Amino acid sequence: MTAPTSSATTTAGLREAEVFSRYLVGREASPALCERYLRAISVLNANPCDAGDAWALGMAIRWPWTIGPLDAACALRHPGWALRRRLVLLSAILEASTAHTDDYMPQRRGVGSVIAVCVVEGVAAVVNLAMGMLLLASAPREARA
Amino acid sequence: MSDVIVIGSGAAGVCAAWPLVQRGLRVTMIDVGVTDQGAGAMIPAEPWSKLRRSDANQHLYFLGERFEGVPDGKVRVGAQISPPRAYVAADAPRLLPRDAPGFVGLESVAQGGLASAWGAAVSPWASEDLAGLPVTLEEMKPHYDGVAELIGVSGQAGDDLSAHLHDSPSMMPPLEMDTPSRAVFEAYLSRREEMKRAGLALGHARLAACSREHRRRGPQPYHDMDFWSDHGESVYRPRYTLRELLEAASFESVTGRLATRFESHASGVVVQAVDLATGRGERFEAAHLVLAAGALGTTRIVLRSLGKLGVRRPLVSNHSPYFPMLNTRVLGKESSDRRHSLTQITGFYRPGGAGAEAEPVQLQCYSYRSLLLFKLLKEVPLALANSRRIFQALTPAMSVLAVHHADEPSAEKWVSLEADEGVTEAGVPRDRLRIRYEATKEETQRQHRTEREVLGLFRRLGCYTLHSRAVRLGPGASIHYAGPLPMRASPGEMECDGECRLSGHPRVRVADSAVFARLPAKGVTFSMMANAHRVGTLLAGEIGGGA
Repeated sequence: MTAPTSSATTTAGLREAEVFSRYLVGREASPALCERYLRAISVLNANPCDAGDAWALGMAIRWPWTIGPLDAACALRHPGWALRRRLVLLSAILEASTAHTDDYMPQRRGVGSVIAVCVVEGVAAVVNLAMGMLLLASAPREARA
Repeated sequence: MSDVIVIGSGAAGVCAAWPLVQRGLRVTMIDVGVTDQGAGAMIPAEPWSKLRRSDANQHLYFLGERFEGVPDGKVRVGAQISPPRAYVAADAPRLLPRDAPGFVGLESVAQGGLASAWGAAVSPWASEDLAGLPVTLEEMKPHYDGVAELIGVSGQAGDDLSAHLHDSPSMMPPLEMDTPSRAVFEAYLSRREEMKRAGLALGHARLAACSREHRRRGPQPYHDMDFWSDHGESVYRPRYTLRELLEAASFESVTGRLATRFESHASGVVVQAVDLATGRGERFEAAHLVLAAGALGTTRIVLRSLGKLGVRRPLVSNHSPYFPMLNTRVLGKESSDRRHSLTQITGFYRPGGAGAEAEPVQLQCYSYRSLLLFKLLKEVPLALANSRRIFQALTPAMSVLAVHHADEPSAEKWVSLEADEGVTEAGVPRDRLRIRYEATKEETQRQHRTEREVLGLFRRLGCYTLHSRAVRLGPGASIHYAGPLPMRASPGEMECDGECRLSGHPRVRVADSAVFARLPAKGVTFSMMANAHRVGTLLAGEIGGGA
């Protein structure tokens, strides 16, 4: 597949960056960071390579609540899929920006707080994974081929 | 005509050239000499934590202008080579082709070679490490000391590492440990006798890094930017010695040339090289030749020059897995922002305990911070939003332990040069290095057993990890290679004598790690530099320069 070029594709790409950014750090990235994300996809050719890959990416963009579950399932089963690659890419771009420094800098917390974060996020990760595996299993037959 | 041609400007090349130039001999250094033309220059001389909050251009050096700092696929060799250091491995695959399935090692045609991205661990070999080589520790010691003075070494003299690493008179005080490593070290000190009996010795890392001003470099700024920039020039890079060499009238550096072969005669040597700007061949003449193009690069030149195509030569490379560890002693504790990014603690573990016969493995303990969080998150099989919050909380208490194993030659570890007709558009011969490297099952089992014992001892120091979570990048990933042209007391064909003269070619000497038949667990770089210094010194004595 080729990199996005038309203005409609660009608009869709910017929207994708905003949606993914909300998932990753809880708020939308600035337009400049979204543009950087689009350029990175083009440079690294982070596009779907098969039907299942394209289905997961399309699903995540269309139904943002599925991003976490599909990300978790891809992390375990399909780390090379475009959805996971694009999320890592946006994560890198957000981290290397002054606007999101605090979202990625190491945080000093008390031992209890660290344990609480690990338990809460660990449980959430397991729930995400379970839902993601169900979503992958419910994908149309051609996407599972 | 020069007295000596040195091929390669890396750690071995500059250390071999140094004593020659000190004696006033005319030295010509030939190399491709790729330099950083990109992101390195735009990094402000500020601490990592400050840059992260203030520099709007940080993506250009943290990620690279073409996002080359965002890894794709599995973790690969050289993952610690950041975009500003990417030039170190650039062009090598094109100019030095090879067919090496499963062998992930790197080569370099950069100015300063692979040592331009060196982790700077200094591990002088002891007598037991030199066993089998026709050179003794007494013969090597002045060259270890000479190189230590030249490059600037810091460490703690007389500590528990001294049983494994001999001290140099010029050694500077050690660099400060960061908070997580200090907690591990204090735990070790509190159980020191127990740990020593178990075979574990830990100490401040011995590093080629200046803790005070030395030869117009340093001191260490503690900016935690050592993977990204060389501000302050605390951490040694071969270009600093090259800069000093260029101040001598008798030294000449010829860059943009790829040396391809040599001819040696009774009266001198001729080196053939390709001018990469024009694709034309050039000839350089000298009385003597020193090969320092890296173990693989030098082997390529020698096999091509001697017409030994398809002939297998031994190859060894340290296996060095990494273990991410949770350092429970610093959970919830304040961590100082003042830190360097290199190895914080060096250690040795002798399987079977302090008095055992087994060869020790070397350990290096790092903290994970300045390489950025997203690279870690990518490897975690969890949803990114969850893993980001988990690792933001855990990274202040994360340490990484590297375990370096020794390596011995075997029938399934070899390199050869395979024929191919003609030259490329750049004028480079089309032949390719072929590499096969397979450790035996027994070797792998022994290594895993030792790793489990090491991890057990670190658990007692409050560091937890799983053996199954090791990061193993595959053969060659340590970027330490040796063995194809070994030094022997009675050298055969394609071997070197005790003074590193290539057998049958008394005017050709090998100054890089190709001359070491085996690799102890200790990193080869510093010993290679010391041996290159010895080669240069012996050659200077043979030629009998003035000054």
